[in-house]
Amino acid sequence: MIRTTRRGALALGAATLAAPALAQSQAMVLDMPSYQLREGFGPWWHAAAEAFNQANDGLRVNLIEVPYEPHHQQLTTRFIAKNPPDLCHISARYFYGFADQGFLEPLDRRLAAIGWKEVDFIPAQKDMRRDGRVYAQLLLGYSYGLYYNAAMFEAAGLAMPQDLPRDLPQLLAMAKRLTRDRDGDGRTDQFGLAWPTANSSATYAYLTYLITGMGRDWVEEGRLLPREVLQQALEAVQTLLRDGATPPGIDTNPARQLFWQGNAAMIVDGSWGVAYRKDSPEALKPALRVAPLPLRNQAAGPSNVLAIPADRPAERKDAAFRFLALIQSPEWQRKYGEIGGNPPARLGMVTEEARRLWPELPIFEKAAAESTSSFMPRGHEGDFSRWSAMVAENVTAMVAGRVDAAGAAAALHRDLTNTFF
Amino acid sequence: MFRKRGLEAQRARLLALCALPAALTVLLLIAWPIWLTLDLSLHRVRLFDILRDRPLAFSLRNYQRLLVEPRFWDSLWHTLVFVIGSTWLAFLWGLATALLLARQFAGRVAVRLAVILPWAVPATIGSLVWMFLFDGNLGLVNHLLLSAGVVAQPIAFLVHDRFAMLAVVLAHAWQSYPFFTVMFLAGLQRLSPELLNAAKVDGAGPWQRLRHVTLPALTDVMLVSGFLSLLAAIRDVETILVMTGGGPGRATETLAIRIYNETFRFYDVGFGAAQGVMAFLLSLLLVLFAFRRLSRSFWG
Repeated sequence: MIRTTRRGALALGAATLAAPALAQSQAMVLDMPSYQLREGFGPWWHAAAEAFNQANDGLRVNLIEVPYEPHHQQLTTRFIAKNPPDLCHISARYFYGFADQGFLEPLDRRLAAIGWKEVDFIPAQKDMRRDGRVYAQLLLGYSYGLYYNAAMFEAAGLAMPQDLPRDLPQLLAMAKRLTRDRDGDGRTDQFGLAWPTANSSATYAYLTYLITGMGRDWVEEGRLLPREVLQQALEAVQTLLRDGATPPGIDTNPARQLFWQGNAAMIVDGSWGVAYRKDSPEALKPALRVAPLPLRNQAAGPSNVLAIPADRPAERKDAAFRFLALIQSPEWQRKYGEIGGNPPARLGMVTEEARRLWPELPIFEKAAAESTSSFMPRGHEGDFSRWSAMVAENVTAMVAGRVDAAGAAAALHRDLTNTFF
Repeated sequence: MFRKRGLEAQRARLLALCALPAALTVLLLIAWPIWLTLDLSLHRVRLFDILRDRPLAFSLRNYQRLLVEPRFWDSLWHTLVFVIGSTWLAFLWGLATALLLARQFAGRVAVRLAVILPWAVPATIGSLVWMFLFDGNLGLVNHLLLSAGVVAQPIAFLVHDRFAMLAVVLAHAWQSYPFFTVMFLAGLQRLSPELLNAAKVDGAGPWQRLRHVTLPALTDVMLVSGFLSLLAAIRDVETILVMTGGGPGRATETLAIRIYNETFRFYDVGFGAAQGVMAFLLSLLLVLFAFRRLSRSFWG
């Protein structure tokens, strides 16, 4: 009898101990690979996943970190193999290609069921429509600012913030003025404006800032912008290189490093740039500030999105949509600003708390609301990789000294026309 | 008589049966991918179309496009410069280190390890190290040149056409020279010391001994290793992809880089495959040439 009771007690104990583990193993795990799990955005994703897991018995979002380039290559492979993750976190540059190939689930029916309205979000949310249907929830709209080192401006006899550049000619002139040889060894060790011109998509992005800064777009009314506009933008880059205001051929990360380590006076970067401040030397931090971009207009458009793949069972798609519904809710959109310091896609969600924690946030919020140009070449979004590669090739040919701005503009204009128009 | 013929037939069947797994493996692992590449190159196919049940029309458009594009001929030229340049450099580097390591001296084992080390470094890591060495601002090469007073201003090696090609050639040669070292060392160990001593007694100096005794003895090894190294250089993607991405402009864009870009960056698999077929033909030419030379060398 005693033995039986002991056995029963043991069995009950084991069952009690095993129950949570069993429940855990029976939970539907929704995989979400992402390239944003570390910097400014990471804490928000982790908090949202945790909140979702707590609120949904039997469901669990599993965040998996993958670097940016491999992430999109793996997504492509998984889509083709019909084995996509349950939640697809995608850079908008790749979104169009995936949506156009039919890899993503149209969300209209599910969005209508939760009372979702497109007008509640920044205009770039409209770009998530393909053939009239919504395929993704926008997370962030691009917005940029001019990051500057106030101490370097003051050392050059400039008053802050009155003497900040107000237009492109002033920006170029200031970049030249702030380029210095601080230790007198005959070599530049303080660059005026760190400007990427490497053989990468960053070169496209930075040339786009100049084109949109002149109030133009890559594609205007279905046609490629005039060669003369392209030449003006390339001449600005050539001026920076000729003046030694930027090292030639650098990519985004070395450019950021130059600025945040106190070796460049200015850099143009997005709202996420603020997150790099934590790596700067303490003495430098107070001098590193942000101002609105001194250009007429700036590139806007979708940065990254959350979507659901078409090739998954219906119950998994429903479960994945519950997470999408959570992150687009006003509560989590408010937290997007508070936790990460980036302007959320839902309008009017930047709280006083977010502004207190991230003083630069209103600059990006205003920029996102005012910009009218597109970051992507409209109508050719699915061919972004080839388009940006052509830009990088011709800019680097100019950096190498093989052609001047006029030659690079002519070649780039011809390449783009022959390939896309 | 009948019995003997029956036994021979049985033996032939057994031999065929023994060779069957090898033949199937060759068919599966070599012939099938080559056929697949050829098939893809004859269709207009995007990466997304693969594994989808979409009927694809036969087309020679990829080849037409390839042959009229000046860019293809440029990449072919860059491939030749990269392959021949890096293989020659690695050859000389490997020969020099092999001759050094063939001698007896204190700490030879440590030096041997150091010489072979680049072989153990993954190509991507090695290329990253060279990228940092050649950096226009903080690179060690610039630091040394500036310190020695050779240049007054740092050179942005990876940003200028000629320097960029030179840099990737050097980086690839560094990664591949240990292969030559190992092969030449093996060849040198085969060389009879009596032969060298006889040459020495006859009054031959070090240079004459190298030219007339050592190098002729290494001819077979040189042919085999040179040919294998050329093939490896044709295939190389990592070095250029990491260091220059094919730039500046398209100054370091080889055929392998183009295949990678067209297929995995621009998703144009058909066009990438057409270039793959060209690279295959280039390699095949090399194999046939080398096979002829080696056949003559080994079998007279």
